[in-house]
Amino acid sequence: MATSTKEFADADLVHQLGQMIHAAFLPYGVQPPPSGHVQGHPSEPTSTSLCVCGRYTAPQLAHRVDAEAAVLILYAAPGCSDVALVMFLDKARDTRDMYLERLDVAKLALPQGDWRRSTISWNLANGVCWGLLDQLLRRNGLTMPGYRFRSLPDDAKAEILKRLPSGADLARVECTCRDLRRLVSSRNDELWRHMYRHKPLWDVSEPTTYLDDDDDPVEERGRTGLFGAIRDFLRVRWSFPVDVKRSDDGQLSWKDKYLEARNNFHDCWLWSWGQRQKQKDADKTGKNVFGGHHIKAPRNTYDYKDKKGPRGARAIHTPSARYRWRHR
Amino acid sequence: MEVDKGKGEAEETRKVAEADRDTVTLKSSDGKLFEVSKEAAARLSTVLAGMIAGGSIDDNGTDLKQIGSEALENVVDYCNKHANSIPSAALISSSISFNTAPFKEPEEWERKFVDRLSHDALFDLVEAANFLGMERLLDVTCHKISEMMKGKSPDQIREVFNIKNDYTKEELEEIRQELAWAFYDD
Repeated sequence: MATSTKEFADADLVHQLGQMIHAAFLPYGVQPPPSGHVQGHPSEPTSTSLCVCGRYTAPQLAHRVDAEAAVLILYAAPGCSDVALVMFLDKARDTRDMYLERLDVAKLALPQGDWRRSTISWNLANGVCWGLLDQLLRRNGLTMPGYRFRSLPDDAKAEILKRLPSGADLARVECTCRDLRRLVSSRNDELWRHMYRHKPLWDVSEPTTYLDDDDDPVEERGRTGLFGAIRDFLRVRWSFPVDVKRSDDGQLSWKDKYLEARNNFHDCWLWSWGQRQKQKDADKTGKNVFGGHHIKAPRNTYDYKDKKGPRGARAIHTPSARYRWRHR
Repeated sequence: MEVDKGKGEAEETRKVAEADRDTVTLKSSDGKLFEVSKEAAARLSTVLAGMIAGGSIDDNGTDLKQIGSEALENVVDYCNKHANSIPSAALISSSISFNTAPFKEPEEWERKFVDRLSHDALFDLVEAANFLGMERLLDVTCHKISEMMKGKSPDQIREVFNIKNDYTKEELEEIRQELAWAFYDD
């Protein structure tokens, strides 16, 4: 009996799912193993089943004849709305690490357009695909190119983070993964103290003046001239948070001090003047960097949250309790 | 007793002979031997300086099981070629105040030295420098890696260093709100 593709549970959907998993593997640089399976190649539907399968291996293993590989199988039976998704390492004896999922294709809404931005693709790439490749490399005593950062000892990672040119860079690194966020928070004082003391807030390219252990500015030798003197004066006056030091009663963390110093600096006339000049230049060239009107960036979490509140005509101003008590 | 005395003398003679040598032999994790001048090793590495001072350097090659041959070759290359360009006084002071002092910018030849390295070789060198207590080499290599992170968004950093994003979307949104100021800088 001839069976057409339509008899299967949405054959197109199954193929699309297979391609999506295939795409989720690609960012990790996977290759087909030399032993020969064409990756992600769907088999022709037969009267009994529809099967999409593929094998993927890490780039370092690809040259080996008997390279271990991650296997993907999507299996659909005719007249059945379910699809079996099986993913495993082909040489792993322990079946407990096998990924087995039963998918109801009728309820599975695959995204249209760019898959890479969808939640399903996100979960596949960062979940099962990453997990299998990680396992594959560990079993073969290898690390993926570029994965070395993760394997560095915490001390070495901290040394790298200390050399970042600004606190904003450190904060952005913190956003990349849990491990780095843990590292930054566990060495909060060490890292932010360094940022606070040694990284000027307005120009990070050529630091010339630093604070020593007693918080006294130390000038680097060899820079002379009027411009150098003005620059050094501005650095000492504006780059370092003198006000924070005075007001600090030991309660502020180094990160808080850095943020306060940064906010103080952004409030100063010089910075505002620089921003206005930038805006004027942008207006002249027709490239408005602020998108039509000046938007003041939120300086901390609280500002950011405040800015999300209602504004203008929609704002509801409720008088304070004291005001109401006085004018009752 | 005489035998012991003879052994002690032989040991003493060996130590004197080792002390007279100008080079130190280092053995990588895969058994390859590298020679580096004793002076350069002592000046650039606090660990090797301690081993030389303590007489624990093996004449047949001091085992460095944590360091691969490629990384050790780079370490020796760095020591042999460039040790003379760094004043030892600066090194001593930098090792004392390493945690608090600002870092010196790498010099031109140091930049060239790390620029020619591959991604993996650079990380191997960071590990080797960290293990051997080579402050200046650690400084130069870490500076190079921090430059690769500079001014990049979290997504770009993940891409360059192949870091897995293990946050949920909700967590990510929360962190982005907490650190919103970092995304408006520059």
